[in-house]
Amino acid sequence: MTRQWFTAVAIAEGLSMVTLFGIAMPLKYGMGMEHATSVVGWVHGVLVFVYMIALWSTARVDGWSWGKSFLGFVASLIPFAPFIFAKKLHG
Amino acid sequence: MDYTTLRFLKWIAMFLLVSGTLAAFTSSRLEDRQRAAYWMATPGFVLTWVIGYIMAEKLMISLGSPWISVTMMSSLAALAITVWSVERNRAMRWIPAIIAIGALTVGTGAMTYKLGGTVIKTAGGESEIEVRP
Repeated sequence: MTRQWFTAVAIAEGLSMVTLFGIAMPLKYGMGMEHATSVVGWVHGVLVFVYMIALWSTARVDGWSWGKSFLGFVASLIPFAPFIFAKKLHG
Repeated sequence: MDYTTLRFLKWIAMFLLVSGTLAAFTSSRLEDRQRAAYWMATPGFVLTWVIGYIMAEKLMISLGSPWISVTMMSSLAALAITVWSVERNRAMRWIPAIIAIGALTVGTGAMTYKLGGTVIKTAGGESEIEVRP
């Protein structure tokens, strides 16, 4: 169940990042909508915290190496990477 | 969205977070404890933070207000301890339960009594401390 939970968190975090970078930031910097990133940015920030907690827990439960755990951390910084990382987990 | 609706949603989110945390420590089966931590406490945590942010923006309250910082840190600690305590092969222990539930109690108390006062954002970007009774 821990891995399923991590996958759900990774998908939510990935979606929030794509929304932030793909929709909210172009609206703010391209169209001058100053508040476009406000709530979306906050949601993404909260989900990053939860992603880190989920990553930390899943890594311990499944006995991941430091390298794999670090890859999971790096995935949280790159758009679409959380989806790929979560998919790889399920083989 | 009006303020009353936000307060109602925040109440539901807090209910999810607190009941999920309590169930994660009190249920007897590991599957039930994991279900409570992963599918109740975690969504409750996310919703509490997001709705709280929207409420703070609506009321022009700075997130640097002491009680908000205390509440954020304590709820984050409570979630991390709750998730740690439901990991596979980990028996239920009272010390993590007391720390997690204690952290949530401190956070709720700080939020209710606005410990340290509320910092209000002003139009010019300056902030002032308003201590509410």
